[in-house]
Order: sequence, then structure tokens, then C-alpha cells
Amino acid sequence: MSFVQVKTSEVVGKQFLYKLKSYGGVFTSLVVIQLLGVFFSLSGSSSHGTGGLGFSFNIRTYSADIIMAFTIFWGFMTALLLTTKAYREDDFAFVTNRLTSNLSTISFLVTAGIIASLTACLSSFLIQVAAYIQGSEVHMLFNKEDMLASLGYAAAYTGFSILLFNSIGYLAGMIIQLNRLFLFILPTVFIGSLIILGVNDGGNPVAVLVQFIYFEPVFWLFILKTLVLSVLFFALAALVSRRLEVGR
Amino acid sequence: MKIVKCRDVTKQYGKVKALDGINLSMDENKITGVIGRNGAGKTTFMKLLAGMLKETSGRVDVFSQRPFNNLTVSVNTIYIDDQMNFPPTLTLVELLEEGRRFYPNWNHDLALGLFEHFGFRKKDLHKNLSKGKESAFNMIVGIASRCALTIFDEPTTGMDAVVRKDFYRALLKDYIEYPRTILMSTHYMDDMEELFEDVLLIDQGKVKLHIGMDDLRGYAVGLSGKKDDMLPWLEGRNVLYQKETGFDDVYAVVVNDDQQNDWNRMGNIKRSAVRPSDVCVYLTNDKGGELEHVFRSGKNE
Repeated sequence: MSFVQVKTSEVVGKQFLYKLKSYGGVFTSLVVIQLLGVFFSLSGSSSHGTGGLGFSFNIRTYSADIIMAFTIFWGFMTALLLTTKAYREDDFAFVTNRLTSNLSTISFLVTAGIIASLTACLSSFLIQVAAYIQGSEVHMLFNKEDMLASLGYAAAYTGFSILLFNSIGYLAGMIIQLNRLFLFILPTVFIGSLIILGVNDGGNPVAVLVQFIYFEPVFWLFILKTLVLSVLFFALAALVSRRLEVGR
Repeated sequence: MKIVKCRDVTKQYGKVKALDGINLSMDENKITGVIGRNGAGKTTFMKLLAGMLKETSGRVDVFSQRPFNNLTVSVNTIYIDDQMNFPPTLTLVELLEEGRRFYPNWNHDLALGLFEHFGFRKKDLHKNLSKGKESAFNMIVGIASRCALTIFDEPTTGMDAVVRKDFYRALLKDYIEYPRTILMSTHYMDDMEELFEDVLLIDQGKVKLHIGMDDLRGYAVGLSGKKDDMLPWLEGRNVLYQKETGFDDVYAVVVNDDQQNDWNRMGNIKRSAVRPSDVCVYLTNDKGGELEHVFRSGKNE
């Protein structure tokens, strides 16, 4: 018999690659949901037209907002999905403990989130092409010099939003894994708080969160806020997961 | 070195005690058969050792460490059962590759050799395998990983007789080449008699017996003879099992206790060996009586 020692970081790395290989379905769902987003965006987010004697024109505004919203929702659902038994216990076929399992899953989520935010932003070009094919004259709302910077900002906002919703989904998922009752309790508490706290206007949790994060005018503060909140939620989820046994 | 140590280990699911005060220790590099009735606590016991479950009270030590949530124990332990949770997207060969990456002692040549021998196709998916094939694949993972503590929980579920024999031989060959501690629960004890060095008999969450296979072979003796000869003789002895076999004949299984049993005074009583698997059955028999009671009580109503 020979007794082996391994380093945590080493196992996390191996699990990360293992997850990249085996969680292909996550990316399939990303493609599907973004294509769906593109489809919904094709009609444009607003449109107004006018005309005169012998001419008429119609201005349509296209944006990738829906795609980004869909992608953020996808981030939430993916994180939730990865906490379910079928995914969580894949680790336990091989070498793991709760810490490495959480770290590798979070690394995977971050990687998937980066890819998702990039494709979400790039999909705006797809919409432009589609609009062009429909026969419109396409004008971008920003000039070419600003384009990269705008894309960068958009990607960062989407990416960090995905991260935040990843962490919320991950925490919610872990709590549900702890006890199935939370599957009913969490939505009830969430929707209930929307209704009850919503009586004083702007008091409900969603409004507070949106106010706190998305009304933040300073870009770096936005990054900082989402980052801190995400780390907090992930850490809580890891704490919860320490109590989980392997059921299989 | 003691690989496994358990002190007053109890595992409770709600109000049900699956394990109740387990005390034992296991030496390294032995094959131990874990035997017991359905629901006796075998799986719970082995999952505790593999760190998949956490003991409710008491203390489990594997390699002198608590196994739950322990990376060192995890890399030196593998737990194989018929519900292995492999990601459904990876092919069988990819799964073996993952095994190679995760387990430092993994023997990939052996894995591929067995893979070929049992007729697996490289592109097959684990979820599409038949019951027996699935068990065979899990077994390959278990053997090839060469973990210092290798645990098989009912590894032969669904395997046909030929595959089962091959499995025993493969395990034994690799064990001789690369000794390690192996725990295996099974209901096919007759098949595995030759394999086991120790036997751990668990009954209703407690350790009933933990002895060497040779000791188990001599643990009890079967006696048969006329009622008149037998009954007085059995008086005051540790009778595990007793049955009337004919009009006037009795068969009984008695614990083989040399000091008590005066073989010379037995007269017409015939002695016979008792198979270890039968000893285990007799030791763990419910006191509720035989199945016939169920049907008899049904008729009366």
C-alpha cells in the first residue's frame, strides 16, 4: 500500500477541467437561450415613424438588452442546477472534499459567465446583421472609436451581473439541497417580501438591490459591490454545503 | 497500522439508528467481507469510512483521520456501488481518463485491459449500460484506482456468473500484485469465501462478529441425530439453529466451543461442517420465526 497526499489547489484544478469537459449541457443551454434572446430582439425595442408628402420613415431601436437579461437569468439557473444532486455528486465519483468541490464549481461558473457575457455582447452584431437583412439602413448609436470601450463596459456589466446571480442561485440551490422544504419556502419568502415590503414604495428587496447596484454611477464601485456580494453569497453557500452528505 | 478505527460510532437517520455503537479496528492490506442482512447497516458503515456520511456520534478514523470532508482520505479511498454518479456526458473511456487524472496510483493499462476483456465499447455512455455491465465498469474503476482503502458495496449486482468469476480473479490478481485494504459487502458469500481473509458480520446496526475467515469456518458445527440423543445434549449449549428434519431427527447448529463440547459423549450424534455463509445467516436470523408464519396467519383470518 502506498499512501498519497494531494494539494487542495491541485485537486481544484483537476476538478475544474473535469467540469469543463462534462458540463457541456450548460453551454448548449446558453446558446439556446441567447438565440431566443436574439429572436425576441429582432422586432426592436422601440419604433416610431413619421412621414410626409411623398416620403415616410420609421426608426426602430434595436438593443441586446433582452439577450443580456436572458443571459443573467441563465446564470442564475445554471448555478442552481449545479447544486442539484446529479451534478454536485459527480465529484464524489472521484477525489474531492466540499471545499474543492465548491471552488471548482465556482471557477467553472466564473468561466462560463465570462464566455456568456462576451457572446451576449457580441450578439448585438448579429441583431444588426439581421436588421440589415430585413432591409433597414443600420446606424450604430456609438462611433467606431468608442465601440470597443462600449463593448467592454457592456461585457463587464453583464459579466458581473451574471456572477452576482450565479452566487444567488448557488446559495439558493445549496439551501434547497439542505432541506427540500426550502424549495417552497424560498419563493414564498421572496414573493411575500415583494408584496409586503412593496407597500412602502421602493422598499422591496428587488428594488433595493437594483437601487444599490444598478443605479451606481461609478463603474468601479459597481464592480466592487457585485464582487463583494458574490463572494459573500458563495461563502455562505460553501458554509451550507459543509453539512451536506452524499446521498446517492 | 490500523487502517480503520471506529469508537462507539452511531449513525442516526431521524429516529432510526442505522448504526448503533460500532467498535472495531481493521488491519491494513486485508480483504474483509462485510456481511449482513438487508438493512443491517453495511452500506451506512462503508459510506462512513469513505467520508460520504458523517457519524452522528462516536468517532471514525481512516488512516488516523476523520474521513468526512477530508481530501487525504478521499484520494486514498474509493467507494464503488451500483449508483456511481458519473457525469452523463462523458464516454466510458473518458471516465477512465478522469480516473487516471484523479488517482495517483491508477493503473491505466490494467483499466484498459479489463475494459477490453469485458467487451466495452469506447464510445458507450455510462447511463446506457445494462445493470451487469454498469457493475462491471464500476468494478474496473475500483480495481484500477488502487486506493489504499478500496470499498465495494454489492459490486456484483446484475453480473452474470462468468463476469463474477472474472471479477474475483481480477481483484485477487491485482491485490496480490499491489496489496491494499479492501472491504466488500456481498450476499454471494459462498462465491467469495476464497477471497475473504476477514469477515465483518453486521446485524441491526451492531457488530455481530469480526473474525478471520478460518475462524469463521470453525465457528460452528452442525449436529444431527435422533431427537432422544440430541435434545438432552443441546441443553445449555449455544444453539444457533435447530430444526426437525424428519419424523424423529433433529439438525442443530452449535457454536464450536472446545471446552464445553465433549465430543466423546455424543454417541450417535453426527457432526458436520457448516458453511460460513450459513453461519452468518443463523447468527442474524430474526427471532420472528420463518416465512410460513406469514401465510399461516393469513389463512386463519
